[in-house]
Amino acid sequence: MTVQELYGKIGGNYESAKRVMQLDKLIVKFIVKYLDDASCAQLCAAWDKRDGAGVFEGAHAMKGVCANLGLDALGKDASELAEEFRPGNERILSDDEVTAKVAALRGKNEQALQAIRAFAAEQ
Amino acid sequence: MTSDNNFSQKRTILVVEDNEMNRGILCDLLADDYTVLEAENGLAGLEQLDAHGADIALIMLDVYMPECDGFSFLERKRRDPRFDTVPVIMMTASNTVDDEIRCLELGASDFITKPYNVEVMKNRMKSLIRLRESSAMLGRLETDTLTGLYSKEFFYHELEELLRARPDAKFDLVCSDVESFRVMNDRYGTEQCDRFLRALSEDYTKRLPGYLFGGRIGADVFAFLTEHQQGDWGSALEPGEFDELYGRFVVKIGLYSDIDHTLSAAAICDRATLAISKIKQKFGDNIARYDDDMRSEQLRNHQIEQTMEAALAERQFVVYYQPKHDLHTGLVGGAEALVRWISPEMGFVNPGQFVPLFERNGFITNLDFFIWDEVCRELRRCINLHLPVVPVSVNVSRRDFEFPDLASRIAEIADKYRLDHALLHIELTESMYSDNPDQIADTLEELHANGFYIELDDFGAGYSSLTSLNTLTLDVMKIDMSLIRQAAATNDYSILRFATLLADGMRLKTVAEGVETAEQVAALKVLGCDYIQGYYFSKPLPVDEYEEYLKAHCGEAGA
Repeated sequence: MTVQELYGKIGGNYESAKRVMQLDKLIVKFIVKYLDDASCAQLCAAWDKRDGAGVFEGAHAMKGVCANLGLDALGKDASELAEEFRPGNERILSDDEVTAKVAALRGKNEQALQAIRAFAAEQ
Repeated sequence: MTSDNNFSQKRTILVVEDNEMNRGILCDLLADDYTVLEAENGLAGLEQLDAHGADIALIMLDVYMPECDGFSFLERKRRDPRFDTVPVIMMTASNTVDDEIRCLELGASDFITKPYNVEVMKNRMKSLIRLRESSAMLGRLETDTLTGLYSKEFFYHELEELLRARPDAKFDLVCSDVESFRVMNDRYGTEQCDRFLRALSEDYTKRLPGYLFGGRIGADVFAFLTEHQQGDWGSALEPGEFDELYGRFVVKIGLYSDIDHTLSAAAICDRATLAISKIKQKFGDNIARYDDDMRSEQLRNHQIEQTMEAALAERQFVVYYQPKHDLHTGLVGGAEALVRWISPEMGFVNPGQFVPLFERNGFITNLDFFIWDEVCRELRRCINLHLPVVPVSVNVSRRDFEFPDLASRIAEIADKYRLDHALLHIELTESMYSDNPDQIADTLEELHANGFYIELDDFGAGYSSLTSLNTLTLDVMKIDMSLIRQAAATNDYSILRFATLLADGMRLKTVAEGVETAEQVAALKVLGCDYIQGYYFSKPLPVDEYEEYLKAHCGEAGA
């Protein structure tokens, strides 16, 4: 599996990642490194504790990571949650809606991680 | 990714970002162009800044981080003057205007959003680093690093700009000058003296009423511009007791009040420092104002300096001769050559005005060589015409001794006119001896060995030291007119007696200067003085009158 194929599989934007990192070897290095990124887990754990500030930190970090890696779909979901819990912003979503969004994000992220693990195994 | 050859020196940057992934990407992207320091949050970033602050050219700072976020980092960085100028690029995953405004207010320089546009990011980084380095360079030129005052050039620039911008406003200039600063530097060391200078500049910038800005215009000379102060400045001009070194240093202050807007900044500062020059080495006299008398003197000096070279070329300087009478025979035994300047523009210029100025600017040596030549020419003329001839004494300046071959130069002039060297006497003052005693002693010895006579002028004026009498090769002691006048006024000739006895004991001839009355002549004759010079016999005479005087009063003896 090429890195472009991986991006296709996980709903990523390879061109965007290429614009940031310029070299495939860097994209490979950091997409594999994404397996260790804790921001999504932090977000989910914070929501489990109904810790809004923790959700914001996790979501904001995930949004930045996804932006740089070109993981657009994940980044979009993380961004919505970051804005929901940004200090000073009024909450828009109900807790149930947040729970649903967090669960969806967790699921998409798990799928991405599985694909990346498979890709990493081939490297 | 390639390095920019125009930006070849690898700068150090600090990346402060809590997310390891983002930090890693950024560090990898920048590693070819920069030495990258990393910090995982604001606190770690501040520690890095503290450890490497002087080396860090730029900071890349995330906004949201645990422990110490980007806002706190900026606040704390801004409070530390060591790091205040290090530019910061904020990295954010959002485009929140409020965040941007807050960061800019806290001193951030720019923003980049994630995902990074590498080319844009790198160019912004380079621009900011260049801007800061250029500003720092300009700052170094603008500011004196020791005191924080403006540099001389920048002070001049700012002063002239201000005068142009506020043509109707009145300003005063205060200059400070540390007395004998070089000596203090040698005695107390550069570090202590620098500390004193810093304290001095801080003291004045805080205390001077209406203070605007200041500059370091010399090693130990500061200039402070203030709004014009009416009346007495009171104690504001006195330096404060700000340092344990105070008391060892003497600071002289020159005030130029209500400065003339048409002058250059340099000329404005000159006026304040001219005031200082009037109180240099005057104990207890530490503050001087530039006034109209100084202005007139300055204008006069300027005119003299503008015309002196042409005056010499046009022979406006002429030699007058004041006869010296032998007290034993009553006849003329010698004469002193005295310079006079008759200027078509300024009229008769007093030697007291131009000689000290020429000694300062060095022109005195040109004049002295001219006088020696004139005197030798006149002596040769008298010999050729079989007119009476007596030895003539000529003055040498302390500046003449800067020529290591002074003795041979004087000999060359005398030889050019085929004169017996004994006809030329060299007069020097006692105070010159302290300048460069060894060289002066050597030169006089050489002159003496070549047959010239040496006269010590002004003995008894000011501070006399017997050392010079003992060390220098002398033939004649000229007793200063102040001693003669004092003796006549008090009818106490004991000092004069001592002087003549001293001269006699050292086998020196004595010449009494400034003798004006028959009583003085009679007393000096009793004391055993050899020669008399003064208005009692004759004032200084132009050459034609002098020749006539010699015909009437000349004998064979010479001083």
